[in-house]
Amino acid sequence: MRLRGWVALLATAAAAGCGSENDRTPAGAGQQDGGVVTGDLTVFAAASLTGAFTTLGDRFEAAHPGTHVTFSFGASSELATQIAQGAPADVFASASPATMETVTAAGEASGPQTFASNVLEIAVPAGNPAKVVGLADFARPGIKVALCAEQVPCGAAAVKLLRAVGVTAHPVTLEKDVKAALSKVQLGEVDAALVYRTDVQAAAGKVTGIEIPEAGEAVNRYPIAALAHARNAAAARAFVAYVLSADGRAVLRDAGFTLP
Amino acid sequence: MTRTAPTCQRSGLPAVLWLPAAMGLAFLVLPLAALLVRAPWRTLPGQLRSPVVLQALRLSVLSATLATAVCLLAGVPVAWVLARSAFPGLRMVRALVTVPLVLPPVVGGVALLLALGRRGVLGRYLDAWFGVTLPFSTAAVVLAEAFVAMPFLVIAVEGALRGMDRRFEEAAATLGASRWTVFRRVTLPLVAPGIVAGAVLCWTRALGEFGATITFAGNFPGRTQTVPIAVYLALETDPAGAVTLSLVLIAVSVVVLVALRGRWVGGLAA
Amino acid sequence: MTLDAVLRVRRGAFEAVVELRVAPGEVLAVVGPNGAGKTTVLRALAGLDPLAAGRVALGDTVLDDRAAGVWVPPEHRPVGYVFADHRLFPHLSAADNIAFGLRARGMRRAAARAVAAQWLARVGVAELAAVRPGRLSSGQAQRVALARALAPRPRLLLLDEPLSALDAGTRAALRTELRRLVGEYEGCCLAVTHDPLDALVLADRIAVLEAGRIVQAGTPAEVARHPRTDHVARLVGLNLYRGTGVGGAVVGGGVVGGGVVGGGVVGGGMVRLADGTELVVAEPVHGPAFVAFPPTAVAVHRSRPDGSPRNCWPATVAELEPHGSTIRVRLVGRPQAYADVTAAAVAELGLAPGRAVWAAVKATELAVYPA
Repeated sequence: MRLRGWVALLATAAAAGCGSENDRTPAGAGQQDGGVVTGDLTVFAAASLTGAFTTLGDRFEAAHPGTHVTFSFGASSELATQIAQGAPADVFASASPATMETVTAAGEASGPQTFASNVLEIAVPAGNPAKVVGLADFARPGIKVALCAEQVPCGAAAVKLLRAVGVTAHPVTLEKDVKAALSKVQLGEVDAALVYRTDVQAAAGKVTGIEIPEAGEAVNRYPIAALAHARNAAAARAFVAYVLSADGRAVLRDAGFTLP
Repeated sequence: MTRTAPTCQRSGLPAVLWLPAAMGLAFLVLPLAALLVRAPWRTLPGQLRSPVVLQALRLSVLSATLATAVCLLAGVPVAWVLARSAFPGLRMVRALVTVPLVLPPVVGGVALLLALGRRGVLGRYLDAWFGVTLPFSTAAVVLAEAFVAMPFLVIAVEGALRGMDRRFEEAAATLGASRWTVFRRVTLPLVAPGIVAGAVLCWTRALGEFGATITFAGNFPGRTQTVPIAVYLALETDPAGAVTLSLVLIAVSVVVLVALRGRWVGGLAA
Repeated sequence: MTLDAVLRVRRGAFEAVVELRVAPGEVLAVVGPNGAGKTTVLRALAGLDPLAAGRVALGDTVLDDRAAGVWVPPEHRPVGYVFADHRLFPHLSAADNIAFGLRARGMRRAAARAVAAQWLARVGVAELAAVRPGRLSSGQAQRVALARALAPRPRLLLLDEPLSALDAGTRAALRTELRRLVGEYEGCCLAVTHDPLDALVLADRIAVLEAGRIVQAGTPAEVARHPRTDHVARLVGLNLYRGTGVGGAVVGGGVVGGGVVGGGVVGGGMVRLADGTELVVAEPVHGPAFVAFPPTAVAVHRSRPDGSPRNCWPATVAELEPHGSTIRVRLVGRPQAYADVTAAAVAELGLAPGRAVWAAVKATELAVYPA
C-alpha cells in the first residue's frame, strides 16, 4: 500500500513538473524534508545492482551538487553482517528480503521497500557451443552447468525454479556469487549457467542470454532502506526516494530489472 | 628497580621488549579467542557430525596433503637449481618462483583457468587430445593449492641448501658417490629439517587456501568444497555453522603443528 | 700402479708447480709451512680442484691430462681422501660412514656392513659401530675416517693433515696406529703435514713444499741431516745458513762476525755468508754451500771466551722459550742463531731479553754440504 502511495505521489509530481528530463530532481522528497541534500553518502548494495546503481549515483550527484556517493557492492549477506556490526553505511539495497530482515532485526533499518525484482535467465558462452535451448538441457548428460550456491539468493532462486520446472540438474560447480558464475560462462569453462537477467544484460555481447518462460516461478525481490544510524540521513532518504522515482525505475528497467 | 632487575637478568630479555612482545601476542591471539568465546558450544557436537562438515574436512586434509606432495616433488628440484647453479637470469627465475606469493589468490585462480581451463592455453590440448578437463575436479583443488603454496616450500628449502656445509658433498665424491647418490644420501638428509619445515608451511597454507581454489576448481560438496569455501558459504545463512567449521580447521592445523613441533619445525630457526 | 703426477694448480693468485712420483706401498710425506700449497696439491690429485696444466696418472690409468682434455671426476677416481676435520657424515653411524663408499660403488647393504665391521675392528673402535660422529672423540673420529677412506680399497690414499686436529696425547697414539695401517696399505700413499714428527714417523720419503714449489726431496734421514731451507731446518731443529765456501784453511783464522779474528783450523775451511759473516768449518769446501748446526752445539757465555779456535760472536738475547727439558734462546747477532741452554745456565748467566752475551760453536760441530 505504502509503496503504491509513494509511486503515485511521485508520478503525480513528475507529471506535474515541467518537462521530463531524466536528471531532474524528484520534487518531492528532498524539499519535503526541508534540508539541503549534500555531503557524502555511503550506499551498500548487492553486487547485481552494480551497473544500475552506479548510473543512479552519477545522476543523483548531478542533481544534488555537493553530494558524493560512494558504493560498496558485494554479497548481500556480507553487507548485512557488516551493517549489523556497525559499518558506516547510509543506505542498504539488498538482493533478498531475508538479508534485509537481518538488518531490520538488528534495528539498523526500518520500513524497507521493494524497488525492483530480478528473474533468472540462462547464460551461455557467445555462440552457444553446447546448443542449449532451455532449462531441460540442464539435465542433459555430459553438459557442464554452473549454478549459484544455495546459500546465496541467486542459488536459492535457481533451486526453486528447477524444482518448479521439474528438471534435475547436475552442476559441476555452485559458485559463491552470480558474478563468479557468469565469469565461468564467459571463460567458456561451463556450457550454461543460471544467472540474473540483469547480469546477462550487463555482460552485453560476452554471453548470450536465453529467456526462461517459467522464470516467474522464482523471482528475487530487492528491498531498499535508509539506515537508522545513517550519518547523512537527509541524503539517505533522498537517495531511496530517487531510486523509487520514475527516473530511478527507468534506469533499473534499462538494466533488465522487473519493476513492481 | 631491585625487584625487576633479577627477573630480567634471569631471562636475558631486555625489559623494553616485553611490552611489544605481549602486544604482538595479543594481536595474534585475540581473534582466535573471540572465535572460541562466540563458538556455539552447545550445538558443536551435532554440527561436527553433519556430513557436509565431515566431507569438507576430509577433502581439505586430503587435498592439502596431495598439494604438499606435489610441491615437494616439483619444488625441491627448483630450490636445488636456485641454490646451486649460476646462470644469467637466475635472479629472474627466483623472482618468478615467488610470484604466487604476491598474486592475490583469486588472480592466481583466474590465471590457472586461462592456462588449464577448457579453452586455456594448455588446457585446450588436454581436452582435445586426452579428454581431460581440470577445472571443477578434485585435481583442480590440488593444483590450485599447490600453486599458492609452492613458494613457501621453495624458499625454505633454498635457504636450507644454501646454509648447508658443502664439504660433506666433497667427501662423498671422494668416496665414489655419483652426483645423484650424493644428493640422495648426503644432501637431502642434511637439509631434511629445512624441507620438513617448508612442507609444514606449505601444508598449512594449502589447507587455508580459498580464492584460487574456488576460482579454478569451483565449489561442489564432496568434490571441490574445502572447509574454507564451506565457511564462506555458511556465513551467508548460518554464521554459527561458519564459526564451527573455522574452529575445526584451526584445531586440525594446531594438532598437526604441535605434533611436528620441536623435532622438525625447529629446523626453521636452524 | 705408480702415481705419476706433474701438476700446475692455481688457487686465486697462488700457483703450485709440482712433480711427484709415488710407488705402490710407498708413503710420501709432503711437508711445508701453512700456505705452501700442500692441500691444493692434494685436492688436485683427488679431482676436487681442476689443474691449470699437467698430468696425473695412476699406473696406466690417466686421471687428468690437461693437454689431452682428459679429466676423471672425483667419484670415478680410485682415490681415498682423509680430511683434517674427518668430515664424517653426521647423520650416519660410524659403521654406515665406513660402508658409504662401498655402497656408493654398488655393494649391497649387508655385505657393506660386514666389511665395515671388519674395518672398525681393525682401527680399534669395534664397539662404536652404532655411534654417530657427534659423540665420538676426535681420535676415534679420525680412526673411523681412515677406515672409511680405506674400505673401498683405493689405489691412492691421500691424507690431509690427518693428525693436526688432535691433541698431543691422542696424536701420539694415533700416529703409531696410522703408521701400522699405512704400512699395511698396498697402494700409493701421500700424506700432507706441517708436523715434522708425523713426516718422520710415517714417511718413506719426504718432499718439502714451499710457496708452491718442491725445494727438497729425499728420505727423512737425508732431509733432516741436510736441510736446504730455513723451514726444514727449523722443522728438524737446526740452525741453517747459506753461503759460499772459500776453500782451505786460513791459518791465523777466519774473520768471524764483529770483525774479531779467531784462529783458523788446520785442514779446515771457511764459509762466507751473505752478510759477510764467516764461519770456520772443519773441512774445506768450495762454491755455494749450506752450514748447519744444532742449537745444542751453541755455547752461551757472559763474556768472550778464549781457548780453542772456534766460531764465536757477540749477540743479544731476543727471547727465551721452553723447549722440552731445556730453554731455547734466540740470539740476535751475526749470525742469528738458536741456542739450547739448561734452566740452570739461564739462571747462572742471568739470561733475559736484551742481555748481551757471546755465542760460540766448535767448527767440528758445523755440518757443511754443497747447496
